Order: sequence, then C-alpha cells, then structure tokens
Amino acid sequence: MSKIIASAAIRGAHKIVERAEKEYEEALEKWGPDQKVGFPNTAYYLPIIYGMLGIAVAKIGDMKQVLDHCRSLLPPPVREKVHLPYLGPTLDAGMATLFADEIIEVIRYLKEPNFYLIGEDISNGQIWLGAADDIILRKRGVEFVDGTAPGFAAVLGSAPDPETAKNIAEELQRKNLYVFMHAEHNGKRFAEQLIEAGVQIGWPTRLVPFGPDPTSVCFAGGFAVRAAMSFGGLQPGEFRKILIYNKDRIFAFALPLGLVTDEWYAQAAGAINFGFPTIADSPIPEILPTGVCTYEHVVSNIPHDQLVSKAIEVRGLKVTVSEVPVPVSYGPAFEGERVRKDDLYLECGGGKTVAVEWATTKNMDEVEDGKVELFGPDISDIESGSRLPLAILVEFAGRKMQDDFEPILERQIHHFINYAQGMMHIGQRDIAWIRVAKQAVEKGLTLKHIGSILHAKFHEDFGAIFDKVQVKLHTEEKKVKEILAQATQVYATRDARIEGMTDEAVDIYYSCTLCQSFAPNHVCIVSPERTGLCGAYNWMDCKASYEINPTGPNQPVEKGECLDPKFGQWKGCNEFLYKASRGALDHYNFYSIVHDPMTTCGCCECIAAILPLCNGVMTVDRDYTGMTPCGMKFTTLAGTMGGGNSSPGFVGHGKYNITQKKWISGDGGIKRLVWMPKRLKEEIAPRLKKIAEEIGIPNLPNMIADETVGISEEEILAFLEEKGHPALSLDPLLE
Amino acid sequence: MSEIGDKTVDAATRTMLEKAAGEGIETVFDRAEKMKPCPIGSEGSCCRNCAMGPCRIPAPKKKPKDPEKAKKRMGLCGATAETIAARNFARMIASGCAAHSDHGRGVAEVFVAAAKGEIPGYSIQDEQKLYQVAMDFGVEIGERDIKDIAIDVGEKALAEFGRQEGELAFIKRAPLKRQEIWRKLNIVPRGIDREVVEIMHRTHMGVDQDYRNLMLQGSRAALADGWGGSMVATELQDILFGTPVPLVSKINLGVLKEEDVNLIVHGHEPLLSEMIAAVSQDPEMIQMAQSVGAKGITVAGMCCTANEILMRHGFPIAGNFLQQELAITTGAVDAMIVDVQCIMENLVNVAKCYHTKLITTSPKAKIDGATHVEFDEHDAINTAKRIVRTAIENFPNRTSKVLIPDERTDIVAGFSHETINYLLGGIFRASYRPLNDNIINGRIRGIGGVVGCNNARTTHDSSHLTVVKELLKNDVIVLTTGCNAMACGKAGLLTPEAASKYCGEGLASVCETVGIPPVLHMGSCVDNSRILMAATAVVKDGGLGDDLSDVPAAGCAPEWMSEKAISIGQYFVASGVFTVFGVTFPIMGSEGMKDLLFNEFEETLGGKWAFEKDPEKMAKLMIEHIDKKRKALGIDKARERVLYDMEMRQKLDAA
Amino acid sequence: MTDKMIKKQSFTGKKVEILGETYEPGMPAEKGQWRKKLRNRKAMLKYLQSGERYWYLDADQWCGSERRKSKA
Repeated sequence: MSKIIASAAIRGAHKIVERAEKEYEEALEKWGPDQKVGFPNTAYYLPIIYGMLGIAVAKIGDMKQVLDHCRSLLPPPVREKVHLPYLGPTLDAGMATLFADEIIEVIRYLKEPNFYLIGEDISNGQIWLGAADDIILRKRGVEFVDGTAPGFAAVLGSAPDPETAKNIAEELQRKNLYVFMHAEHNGKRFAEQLIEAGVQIGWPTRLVPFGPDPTSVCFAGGFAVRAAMSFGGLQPGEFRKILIYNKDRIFAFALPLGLVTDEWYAQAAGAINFGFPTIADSPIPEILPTGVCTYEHVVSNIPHDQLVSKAIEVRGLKVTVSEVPVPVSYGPAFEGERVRKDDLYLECGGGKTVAVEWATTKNMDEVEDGKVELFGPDISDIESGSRLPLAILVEFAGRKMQDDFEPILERQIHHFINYAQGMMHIGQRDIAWIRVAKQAVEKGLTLKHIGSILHAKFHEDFGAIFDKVQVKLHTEEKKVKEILAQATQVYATRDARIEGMTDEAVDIYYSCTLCQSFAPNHVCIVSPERTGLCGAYNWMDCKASYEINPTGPNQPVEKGECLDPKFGQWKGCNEFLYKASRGALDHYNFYSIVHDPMTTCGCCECIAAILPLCNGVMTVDRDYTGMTPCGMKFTTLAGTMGGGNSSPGFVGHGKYNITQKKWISGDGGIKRLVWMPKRLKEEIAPRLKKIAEEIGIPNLPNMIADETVGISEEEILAFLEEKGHPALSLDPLLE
Repeated sequence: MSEIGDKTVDAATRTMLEKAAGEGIETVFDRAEKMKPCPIGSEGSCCRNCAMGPCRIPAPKKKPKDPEKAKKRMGLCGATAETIAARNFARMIASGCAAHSDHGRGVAEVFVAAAKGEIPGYSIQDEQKLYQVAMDFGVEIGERDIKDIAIDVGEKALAEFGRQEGELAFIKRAPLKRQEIWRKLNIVPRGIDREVVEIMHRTHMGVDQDYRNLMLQGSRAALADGWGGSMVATELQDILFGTPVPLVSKINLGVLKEEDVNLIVHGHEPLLSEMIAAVSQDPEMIQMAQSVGAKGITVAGMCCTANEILMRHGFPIAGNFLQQELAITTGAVDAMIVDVQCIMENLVNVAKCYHTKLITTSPKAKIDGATHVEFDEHDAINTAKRIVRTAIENFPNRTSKVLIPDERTDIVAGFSHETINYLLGGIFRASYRPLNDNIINGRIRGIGGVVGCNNARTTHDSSHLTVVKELLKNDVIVLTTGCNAMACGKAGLLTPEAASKYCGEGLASVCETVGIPPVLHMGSCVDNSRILMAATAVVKDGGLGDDLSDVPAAGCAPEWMSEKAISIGQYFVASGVFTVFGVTFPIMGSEGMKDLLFNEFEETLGGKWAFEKDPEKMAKLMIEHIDKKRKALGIDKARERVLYDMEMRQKLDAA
Repeated sequence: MTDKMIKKQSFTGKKVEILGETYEPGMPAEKGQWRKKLRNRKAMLKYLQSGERYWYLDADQWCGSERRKSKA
C-alpha cells in the first residue's frame, strides 16, 4: 500500500459498507427478513461472501451477519501522524467492500428487477448484464480451463474518447482476455464508449458490461470465486485456497481509467486479495513491492497504447498471439461476434447458397504448403450484400497424417474462421454458413484470407501431425456441388467408422488432464464409447492430441486386464487413476452410475442422477436452468458433484455419450433414461431415435418425460406407467 | 571526568545527568569512570570454582614467542584457559536461562491458578492464542470449555520446567532441518530446569573439562531458554494479557507529568505491573490522587516491564536500563516499583535523596533499605491498590525541585510475530510471503535482530543507534526488543515516518507499502522468542532456504551487559544465527574458545558468534554475512520476471 | 473528511486531478485490534490453519504457489 492509497481505500470501504447497511435496513423494513434474495440462476448465493465466509445469503435476514463481518473487518481511517500499519487492514477493508458490493447489488436485483439483463447479450437501450449466471460461468469458465481465455481485465471508468476505448478493448480481445466493465468517469462509461465506437459488446465478444457503479466489481470477483469453487473443487469458506487459486490461475487485473476515487481504491484493495493488481492511466501513487500479488500491486500513469501490455507484464502473464496474416483483429475473443444483416457484405451457405467444408489427406507431392487458390469470384469482384456458394477444401499431407485426424482438423475450420474480426461462421460440413461484415471488407479482408488463416492456424495448433497444408476455395456453384458430392460420401464413411468403434476394439484409452490445472482431483479417462464428460473431447480427439503433443494433457492409458466387463473396469485404468489422483481413488467404473461411477468435474455437459421411485435415471444439461425431478438444479448438482468426486447415484457425462451404447450400460443403459430436458431431447433426437430402434423400443423417445410432464418423481412416474416405460420392468436399480 | 556528551546520546539523559551532578547524586555513569572492569575477569580467565583458587591465568599481553608454552597456562587443577573460559561462559548461560525461565515459571503458575479461577484479576484475554498454544502442546480443543483447555495448557507448560526426558514441546516449532541439527548434536533440551542444573554440575570443580563438550551443554541450556522458558513466558503472557497488536505510545523521561502522581514500574515481569496499570485507571484511585492535589496518575515503565505493558496496552516508557537512577532524579517519581532483573541496588541510595519510595515486590528480589510490599498473586488487585495508594500518599512529600526533561518521542509498537504475519496480508491472505518476496527481489537486503541491554562502559544508546541506522541505510529491516527497542524509540526510529528518513530506497518502499516503521518493536527480552518464531515463519514460508541458518539475517547486542544476553546470544547462535556482541566479550582470554565460538560453531550449529566494539564495523559484519547468505541462496543477482503461459499453468501444483 | 484533490502531471504532459493525501488528523486513538476480527472458536481455528499455517497445518495442505517444494 501507499499511505494515500490505504487511506483512500479504507475511506471508500467505509462508505460502501455504510451504504450496504442502509440498503439492508431499508430492504428489511420493506420486505422483511424472510424475503428471498439472490443473483439469477446460481447455486453459489452471493459468491464472494459464500466463498470467503461460507455464509449462504438466501434471504434478507442472512445479510445481518455478513454486515457484522464487514464492520469488524473495517479498520479505522488512517491517521495523519504516526499511523498504524495499514497493509493488512486495507486488504481486509477491500474484502469488506466486495461483501458490501454484493449486498448492494443483490438488493438492486430486488428493487429494480429489470435493471440488469439476463443472459449473454445486451439489448436496445439496456446494456448492463449484471451477475453472470452459472450457465455463463460454466460455458465461459471452460475457456479459462482450456486456456483460450487466460484471465480478465476489470475496467473501471472510461477512456478519454471512444476511439481509445475501442483500441484498448480490441487489444485485450487480441490477447484473448475477457473485459469486464464497471463504473464511470467524467459521466462516461467504457461500455457506452465501445458501443459508440461501433464495437459489439456482450459475453460472446468477451466485452462484458457488468454494471454502471463501482459496486458491480463484485460480479467480476464473483466470477473468479465461482471459477475456483466449480472448477477447482474448492469448498465455500476455504478463503485462502480460493484466493491463491485465483492468484495462480486466473490472470486478472484492474484497469481504472480516469479519476481513481476512494471507492475505486476500495475495490482495488479487494482485488489485491485475489492477486489481481491495478494498472492505472492516471498518475496515482504506485505500490511496487511484491508479495500479495505476484508482482507489483499498483502501477500508474501508463499511456493508453501501453496499458494492456503493461498490465499483462505486471500480472505475470504470457500471451502467445497467433500471427495470422489478415488485415483484421484475430483471436478467440472475436469468435462470438456476430455479423448482423445491416452489416452484411457477403454471405455463403446457411441454406441460401451451397457451402461445404472438407479436410482431406493427399500425397506429399500433391500438396504445396501454404498454397491458397481461389477459383471463382472473390469479395472484390462482388457488391455489398451479395451471396456466393463456397467450398473450402483443405488438403493435408505428412508422414504422421491419418484419415482419423481429418474430421478433427475439419472441425477447427469453424473456430479458425470465426476468430477473424468481422467474419462469422456457423455450422460445419455441408451446413456451413459464413458471413463477412462490411467493416472487415473495408479493412481489406477477402475470401482468400480464409486460406491464409487456415494455413497459419493449422500449422500453429496441429503442426505436429502433418507436414504440408494447402487450401482451395471455390465460389462457382458447379464446382462447389461437385465437391459437395464427394464430401458427402466421405462424411458417411467417417460416421460409420466412428459409430462402429467400440471400447473392446482398442487397447489404449486416453487420459485427459486438460482441466486438471483447474480441477486437480478429477481424473478423466476417455474411451471410444465414453466420450469426455465435457463433451469437447472424444477418444479420437485425445488420440490426435497425444500425437500432436506427446507430453501434453492427453496420455495413453493401457486399459489392461478387464476386471468387470459389465460395469467397465480395467486394471490399467485403475492403476493410472491411483497414480493420477495421488492415492485418493483406486478404481471406478466406466459404465455405471450406481457402482463407483467415474469422477465428475465442474465442466461436465450433463449430469445424470438416479430416480429411485422411477427405477430409472434422469439427466440434465448445463443449459437447463429449471428444477429437475432429483430435487436439484444442474448448477447445484455440479456444485455438489464437481471437483473430482466419485458419487454413487450421480455421474457427469457428455451429451453425445447419452446415445452411445455403453452409457450406464452396467445399470441398463438408455432403457433407464426416464427424464431429460425437452430441449436436450430435441437436440439429440436423431441419434436417440436411432438407438431406440436398435434396442427394439422405437417409441422410447416418447416415453422419456421432460419438464412439460413434470419436475417431480411422482409426476413423471404416472407418465412412465401410462407410456409403459421399459425402466419400470427392469431389475431394481438399487439393491 | 569526561564530558556528559560522551556518556549518552540521549538528550533527556543528558539533562538529568546535569541535574544529578548539580545535586551531588552519584550514578552508574560516575562509578563507571571510577572503577575499571577487572581485566582478567572480563576475558574469562579467572576461575573461582574451588577454594584452591581463585586462579587467574590472563592471556599474555603480547603474542608469545613459543605458542606451546602459552598453551600451558593453567589453574592449580590443570584447568586450561579454554576450560575456565568455557565454564564461566556456560555459567553465564545458566544464569541467563534461569532468569528468563524462572520468570516463565512464575507466569505459568499464575496461569494455572488463573485458569482455575483461583486468583481474581487474571483471566484468559486472548482466546485464540490459547488455542494456538494448545495445539503446540497437543491439548484437545474440540468443543471443550475454555477453562478446561486453559488448565491443561497451563499444566503442560508448567511441566516443561521440571521435565526430565524427551524434548521440550516448542522444539517442534523450529524448522525441521534445525531440529535435526539439534538432535544430531544431542542438544535438544530435555527439561528447562534440568539443563541449568546440569551446567552447574558440569562446571563444578573437576567435572566437564572439555570446552567443546561444555559448550554443547551451554547450547542445550540456551535452547531451553529461547525455545523453552522465554517462549513459555511470552506465550502464556500473551494468553493472559493479550497478544500484542499495533499501537502508538510515547517514550522517554518526558512521559512523566509533574502534575500527576507518577509511578514507575521497573524490572521484567508483567504480572504485577499489569495490575498496577489497570488499578491506576480506576476512578477511585484517580479521585484519591486528585484529593492530594494531583491531576491524575501516570504509570510509566522502565526496562522490560515497560516493554510488556507497552506492547499490550500502550503505557508509556520512561526509559531504558541506564536511565533508572535518572528517573528518580527528576524528583517527580512518587514510587518506583521493582520486581526482578536489571534493578540497580543504587536505586535505594538515589531514592533516599528524594521523596521517592522504592518498593520491592518479589520475594526473590529484596533490596536492603527499600520498602517491601510482597506481591501476592492471589490478592493481586489489592497488592496493586496498596502500592498505588502508597504512591498517591507520597505525592505531597515531593521536596526538591522537580525537573522533567521535555523529551518524549512517539512510537509504534506491538509487533508480535502474529501481528507481522497479519499485517502482511490481512485476515484472508496473512503470511510472511511479502517479506520473503521482497528479500528475494532485493528490496530488503536482509533481517537484522538488534537487541540487548545498555552498558555503562560505552556511550549510552550510541552503539545501538549507530548499528541500527547503518543497517537501515543498507536496506536491512530491523527487529528489536529490550533496551535497544527503547533506544530506537527515543531516537524516533519506531515511527513509520522514519522509513523515508533513514532507509535505503528498497526498504523504504516496503515500509511504505505495509505502513510499518523500519524498526519493529517485538517486546521484552523474553520476547526474543518472538524473533525466533518470526525467523522460523520466514523459513517455512519458503524461498529463503530450509533452515534458520539459510536466511539472510544476523543478530547483535551492541551494548549488552547481563548474563541473560549471553544466554540469548547462545540460543540465537545455536539456532543458526550469526550474532555479534559489542563492548566486551568474556572468553577473549582463550584461543580455543575464540575459535570455537567465532568459527567452529558455524560448521556444527550453522550460526556463530563475533565480537566487535565498533558499531559501524558491527553493522558491516552483519551485512557481509547477509550478503554471503544471499549469494548462497542465489538471490544476489536480479531475477527475470517469470511470465506464465497456459502450459506452465497446467503444470502448477494442484490446489 | 473531504477528499483533498491535487493536480499531477500525467503521461500526456497535462495536469490531471487525482486524490491527494487525505488523512484523519492527529495520531491513532486506538489499537490495531485485528484479533477481534476473529469472533468465535471456529473462526480462530480457521485463521490459525490458514493464516498461521506454518505451525498448524501440514505443509501438504498448503495450496498452489504457496506450497513448499520441500517441507521445512
């Protein structure tokens, strides 16, 4: 601390805590102690308070003890002469500030229910998104887990002008960071400046307008705390572990732009507890000695064009930015950006024209690395608002290249194209849909750039499995249709091969420790018929990943002697599990929910739970926010199950896995499935239908209940009986 | 007669020396001029352990031509200079250890009685510290009543004194590597009293006559002090009276108030002074003071009693060891209450020249001619009241001219190792990491422990301040206790404002960050145990080696005089710390002992002694040692900033 | 206590307004009672294990970058 900063932060903390106390008193008066309060759709209550103090604030009455805590944490103001030491007290004041923030903000949810929007996007006239719900947390949190987003910048205030704001935001985006926006300076707010500069904001572009007041900083802190609890498996009240988790793994920092008020200092003091330093554009005092943060605590007077690189250096972060030769910004942060109708310059596919993407293998002498050819008109040849057919043909060659890698590489086309600012990509294969924005075209983007992007990115991420890659782009309908016909045949062959792949047919499974830096106790082993529970990695992906990086997160596991064919247990897997869990677990079953199921981490796509009354199981995906028949919402289930536990009666799995033959096959498989959210059922309908036919119960999809039938076991039991669901006649699930 | 300016660097002391001279009062400063120290005794070459002696075998003034012959100087029994110096040194350790530990025992006895609720006025003030010590002693906490936990803790603590075998409980607090060194050398204390008794036995005529072997036992007894008696005293006092937290107060004779009834509590134990301090604020007492014409009651401390009530309650300090006679010389002290240790017998003579009542309170420490009011812990409040009343009643008897020097300095104190730990990270991130980090990155060069007494053989406070300022200038943060803390306090070094004034840029920036003074007052002389704990915390936090001897740190006692200082020095050396003493050193008559203490110990114990009178050179020795340790740790060069990418994060240890 | 504002030169060369030295007048009136922030046995024990973990928590239980490579 510096004396000036400590004094200001403590004063700011007093103000905010006093405000929280006042808000609490008024709320208590108006609604009474039993009035429920909470941020939308979260199992973590007021997350900072929950994580740090272990107190679940669910009612107004619960706030009292938190405010008492705040009071006792608040130190007296710093004195002019012979002051007492202030570092520890100021950090405490910072924590009290974040607790008070949460109370103020949650009361705002009660007082002005429409103040904050729900979901990922802003709407007309309303920009503040408020607390991220658990769906956003899990979806976005996975990016923190897999490294596509190393951290976030909490911006307070505003830049001198919209152009500077845009530059700062885009630089942060290029560095793959999330930008959380708060508070105002000079009557202006960073988020509004971005809109003014024509930048798309919202979760999809990683530019998140949290709130107009400094108290909204708690939404950033709450995101960080929940990341530690949901992905790190840390328990509420384990404050030190949660804070160190953030110091070590979430590369966040505060960027106050403009006058740093005492209330901002108070927020910054709170952030320092997490190891998040402050980098200011104004000449405030600096705190250079290290210790609570990894490096400096406060660095100031940094010119705007150096702000982001300075912040990253101070936070101790290394960001490797892809050098992709395109005239627009490029990076994962631009993946979620949309190209709206009004901005549209060119559109391909999406049902409007024919479009197809195909990755294939050629002989070494057939491929010239880096060659990009365009057959047909390019953007420069057409007018704004046009449509073109498009075939993207990517041809690989190399000694290590295998047919099995083709679909994996092909799936990347979606991401790689999307990363370019002003280019939108949806779908894959023959349902690909590409939009190019006017703004990007103005900067000189052409269709041929797709080829340059793919060449650069494939080499960067997958260079280990091929030697050469060339790209052919076709925009003439006839040729595109020819390619489509060839590709369709290849798709069918591939699908058949993947479908036919069984656990019995391979000797090697793959471990996945991709999320282990975030969920240290979870040990994932992926087999052909048990796709990774995050839904992102199947056996083939893991195999390819191992080829690409032999010391990476996917390691081969010799499955060894089969100890239990019914429940799916192998000696080699057990040995690996024992080692990887550092002795915490010595076995689990791949195919059971009842008997020693596989461990679950916070990033699973779905969680299945047994419903004893129905003699079956239900499953729920992370996008479904409602109640389920097991009495818990997804987010509560994930909170209870995540963090690497093996919990009989519950198991995490991917969506795709539901329709794989080995899904809980030890307990009866798909025949046990009695309930799932409607939308999930629709999403997997084609495959569900197929497997239902295969097991000889073609009507099974209609027998599975959803939330329209009921969300209690009693309700759905009646439905199952009426439909004659097969689970009812199976052996008892629990003995 | 030398100038008063040569006697002290403290303005208040100077004023009072002038007053004393004018009034014909003889003080320790005068006697130091009249009587020179015995040259043979001061080098440790006099043996009076049997009636065949005393044997005096002084080292030759010039280097002998035949070193073999020089070696042969010996007492009647054949005791060599080595044996004699080692025996004397070991006995000093025994005495020092006994003093600290007997203090600790007294606290433990009161603690047990207080826990049982048998003595009104004492209670458990620091519940958390009780749990802390309970964990060390293996006392179950669970859902048990505080009272039961406290009784168990007290009894376990008390048992440490008479323990016959095994290891003292607090030994386990030390770094693992340090414990191993002790075990390998077989110097882990078995019991506190036992090690003192064994020294007395082994130094008896005709027993242990191998100076190395004697010094092993000396180390064991010293460890029984630092990690035993002293630590027990500190910890139990914290539970009874509160673990120190940061606070402000004032220091120097100017804290006395002419219009108030002034009591000075002097000595070492807080048991009675705590009560006197409390009782002095009783409205009934204040009213009584006012009834005799005083405005109020001022209680100020002297020596380590002062440190005790300063650290826990912020009572002002009148001065350090060499100011005790001078306090009375102000003519404003209505009663000086003394307990044990460092109380000059001459106080009784000075008091006679004024109206001051010198009140002895300990059955262990009476002074012929003083008033004795025996402190009965079962009736502590009434004892305290009686004493305060005596002072009040004495107020109207003030006769001579009162002169209180207008010298008082603001200080910040209260730096227990727990408080330092808290200050560096707050409730949620408390740790020594920021300290270690800034030592590693070089903003702080190292840690200096500067402690110890005053000694009338050297200019009062001068060496203390010179060493400390030199260390600060070189970015060495200073931890202090005892009379050094007071010297620093009087000179304004215990304020946060001192950082920018005296420190190198690096240390100043860290002080500004934490808001601390560059010199941290950690308490009384038994509280040197707090320095051991702070140093241990530094080791355990990581990045600065695995043992206390790896840390870039050094200790010194520039103006030492008591046997307690020798015991403290030896336990720091035996804990792996390089320790420099000033003024004089009681083994200089023995080449073997010099080699053992100044060199060999570094091989065996990891720490060693040094003797250096010149405070600037003393600081230099410490800094050189710190630099040596920095080099060994590989932190003598600037380090590159490590930037983390995803791969490195994935390799992080699991949370 | 109102915030004292001062003008300071920023990287642009222009003077900008920032918060200046604003303190409560005089010297501290009370102790820095941080131990009172721990209000019950549970909180006290929790703090001992997390804050003073050097002695009261096995080093294996320390987390992340705070975990020592070798025990001490």
